[in-house]
Amino acid sequence: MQNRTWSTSGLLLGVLTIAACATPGPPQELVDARLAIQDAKSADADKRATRTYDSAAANLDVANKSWEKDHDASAILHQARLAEAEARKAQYAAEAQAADEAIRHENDRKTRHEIALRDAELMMLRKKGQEAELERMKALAKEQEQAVLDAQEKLAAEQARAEREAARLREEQDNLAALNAEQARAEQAERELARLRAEHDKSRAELTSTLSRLAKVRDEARGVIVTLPGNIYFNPNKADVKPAMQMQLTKIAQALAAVPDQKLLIEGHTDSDGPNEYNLSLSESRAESVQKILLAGGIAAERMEIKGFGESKPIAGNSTPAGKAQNRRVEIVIVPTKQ
Amino acid sequence: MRTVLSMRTVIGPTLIIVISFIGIGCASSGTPVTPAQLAETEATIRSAESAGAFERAPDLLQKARQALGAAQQASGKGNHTMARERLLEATTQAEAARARTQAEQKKSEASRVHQQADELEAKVKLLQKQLQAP
Repeated sequence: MQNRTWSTSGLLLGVLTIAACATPGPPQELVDARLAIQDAKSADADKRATRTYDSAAANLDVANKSWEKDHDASAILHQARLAEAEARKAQYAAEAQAADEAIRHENDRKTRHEIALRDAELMMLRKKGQEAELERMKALAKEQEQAVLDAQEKLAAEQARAEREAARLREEQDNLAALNAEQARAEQAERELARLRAEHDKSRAELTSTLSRLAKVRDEARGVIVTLPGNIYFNPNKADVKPAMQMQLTKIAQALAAVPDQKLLIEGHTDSDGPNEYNLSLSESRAESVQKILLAGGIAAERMEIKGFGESKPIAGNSTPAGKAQNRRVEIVIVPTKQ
Repeated sequence: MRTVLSMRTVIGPTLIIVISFIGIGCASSGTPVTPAQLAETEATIRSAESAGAFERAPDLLQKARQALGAAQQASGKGNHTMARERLLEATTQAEAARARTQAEQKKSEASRVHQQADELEAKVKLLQKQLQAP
């Protein structure tokens, strides 16, 4: 029994001895510290939090060396825990720094996008404004176009009215001009008429004056009448002009030649003695005789017209010799030119 | 019997060595941690907590708290060296917790700004597309 106890004890001692001689694993604290330092390195703590990282690394190095030398867990726990804590601190400081950079980067990006957004919104507003402005301009252009059309229409109507007015004015002017011309012509004609009248009157006066010296002359509405007394110019019951009076009659013809545009009516008259037919024939013959002398005196034949009235147009009573003497006559009527 | 003697021979010196180590350890405890140092570490931990470490770095905060407790315990036992070591660990863990909290916050901020930038970029692209449309 005692031997059995001893053999068990020996086995246990052997196991313990083997266990004691075998290399123990590193304590969890050291494992955690190593892991933490790897994480810190991955977070660039060696660059971003250099001092803390270096401190952690130094502590871990001490812990590692102590462990490799003595494999005494208790001796390295503090260094390992401190190394882990410092490594984490360095890791998070590095991460915070990286986050700061990310924040700055994102803030920059945000700012750029805010600016871009503001620009885009401005452009959109401008575009909308331009669209609205374009619509307004289109409407305005349409209104203006309509206004132009209206104005053109109004102008055309105004022009038409003006043209009508101008035509009317031209017509009025033409009428006025025509009227003026007519008036001028009328005035001219009037002046001419006046002149002619004056000339005529003058000629007539001169003629009358001239004839008055040669024969008995009277002025009536039908014209100037030159009376050739029958008892002076003709022998009784004879048609020919007395030779003594032919020269006088030639002088009368010369005076009448001065007014070549006036017709001459040569009218023969008798008294009531004798038959009417005889008187009529005698009066016409005497008129013809006068015509011949006047023709010889230079009076154109077409100017003269003869007619015998016989006893039909007495100028005095046939009851007395004086009256009969007055009725026996040849009258040369100088018919005035129609004016 | 010989084996027993051998074991005694082994165990005895071992015990002596252990006791010696303890004695040396006690003798080398050095300067004790001061209440001010403890309070300073406590303040560091609280600062990390206030910064949001409860949510973002609870494991590190727990380690800091544990280290502080161990330091206080060691200090109470007169093991000043261990107290100083654990106190330093507690402070470092709290600083790591605070660093992780700040890093997480900044990452979150970066993500938020990134998302905002992406949204703005999308709006810009949409507007530019609308602008290009006749």
